[in-house]
Amino acid sequence: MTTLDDQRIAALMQSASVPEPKVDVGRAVRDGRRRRQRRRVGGIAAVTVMAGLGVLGAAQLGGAASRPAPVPPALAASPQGTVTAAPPSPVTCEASWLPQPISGPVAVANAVDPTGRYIVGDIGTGQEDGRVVLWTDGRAGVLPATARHAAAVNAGGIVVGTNGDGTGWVYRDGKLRSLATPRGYQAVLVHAINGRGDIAGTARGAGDSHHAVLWSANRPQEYRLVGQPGSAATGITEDGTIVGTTDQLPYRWTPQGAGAALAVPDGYPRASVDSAHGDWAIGMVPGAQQGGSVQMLPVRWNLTTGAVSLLPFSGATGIAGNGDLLVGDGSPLVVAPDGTSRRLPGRSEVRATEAGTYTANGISDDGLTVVGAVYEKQVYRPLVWHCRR
Amino acid sequence: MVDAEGEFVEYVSARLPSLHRTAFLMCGDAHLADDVVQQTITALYVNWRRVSRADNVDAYVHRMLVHKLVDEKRLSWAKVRLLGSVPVPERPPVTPHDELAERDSLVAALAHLPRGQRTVLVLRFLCDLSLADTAAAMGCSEGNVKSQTARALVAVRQVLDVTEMSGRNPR
Repeated sequence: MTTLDDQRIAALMQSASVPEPKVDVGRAVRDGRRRRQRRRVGGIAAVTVMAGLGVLGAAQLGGAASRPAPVPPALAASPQGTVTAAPPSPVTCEASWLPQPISGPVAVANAVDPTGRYIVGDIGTGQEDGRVVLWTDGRAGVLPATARHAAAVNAGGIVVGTNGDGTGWVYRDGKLRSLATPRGYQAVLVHAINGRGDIAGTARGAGDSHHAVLWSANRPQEYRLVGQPGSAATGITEDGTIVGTTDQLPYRWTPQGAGAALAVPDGYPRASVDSAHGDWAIGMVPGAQQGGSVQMLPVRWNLTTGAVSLLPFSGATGIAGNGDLLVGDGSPLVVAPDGTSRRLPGRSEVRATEAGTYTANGISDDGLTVVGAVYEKQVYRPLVWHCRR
Repeated sequence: MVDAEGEFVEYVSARLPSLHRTAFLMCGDAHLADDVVQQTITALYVNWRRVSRADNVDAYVHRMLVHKLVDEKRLSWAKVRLLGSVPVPERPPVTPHDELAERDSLVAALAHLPRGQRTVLVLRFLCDLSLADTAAAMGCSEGNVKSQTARALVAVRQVLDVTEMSGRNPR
């Protein structure tokens, strides 16, 4: 009787036929972001990334190396270097702490309404226990515990979000109500609300089926599907223009539901849209492949002219109604449509200086109020930048 | 954050096949393996900033995977799974004449092992973890890992040798 040596067992384990993984890195990023109580920046884009990953997963199944070569860090080729240094700007900004009505090591401001008056965020441990906080003129209030993961707040202080189980909600005048999940779908992801109370999001069902949805804050149990199956809505402007994607291509719909494709930058196969305010929308296109993942590049659409342009940054977090672009990661930066930029200042008591210490997540329509957080000593604290022209 | 996220996606995409293989061989259930890997990489994303600075990221991720697997096994008795899982089709009967049969019989052999033995085998031989790392991942002593490995190897060898014998002496 032959005795198997250890190496043979190892080889057998590596070659044993196993099922194809059905794991979604995009979803992990999305869920992880929500769990981290951080604003979702590009779920649809993350799904787009998966298109590249699927191929990789299949290719590596055969090899099944237990110790792949060390992965080099994925660094963009310093895209921020291409921006001219901020010229002396007439705009002055100051960072202030937002009060924390409850304690928790992960306290983050996620979104601000177009006027800058209302700010929403989350406070918790970073696990599935965060509470939604609404700051009104800087005063904090805590939403009921059954509301989780706020996505947006409008100029009337109405907050929308999605619970971890995929139920959408709307919070208005102290009352929390569920948004209807469209028939045939199991979950929704709510993204945006405008001043009229129109709420845009996406319904998801079995087999990655999805459809863009429009609700109204006045009648949360009613809904209207937007576009065709395979659509997704991620933003809505004050005039009711909905933006999103249809089958991985960028799309816009009128309030009545008439759809039109948005341009995809030359040389790119597809694009996703993250959000829209005023005449502007931002999103991402898949850039260079790097060791199996794809570097997503930010793009901006002018919804009036239809023009699309690649942005020379590693990412775009938000767009203000006046066209100011928020580059929220690393060291937060606001870039005006004319290309001039301003870095947002830090707080003197924050000692950490590494990139990523400050995160900016939302910007008001005049570009003068930005919300975010500071990460230092394993703790996130919510922050607001007030700027003056 | 974008850079950190790029690193995360890059790391996970490189490790996904081997993580999934690890989870599948540990639990023998394709859906559970998917669930557990999905949960692991989600938790990894949440903690990426900290984890990516660890000396041995792979060992850390294996530890997360094992913990998730144990949690999932414990919870699955009590909770209704969110996504309805389709029963895994039965494997075709083993025709013990080729290497493929041997591989399948390895999966079968693992299926007969108690969970602890199965986990040590996968961590030691598939993931190539050291005794110390395996013990850390499983939250037990190195002695425990040694004894479980020894017992598991005996059991697996029995199954595989039988396969091999019958392959050599076709009826």
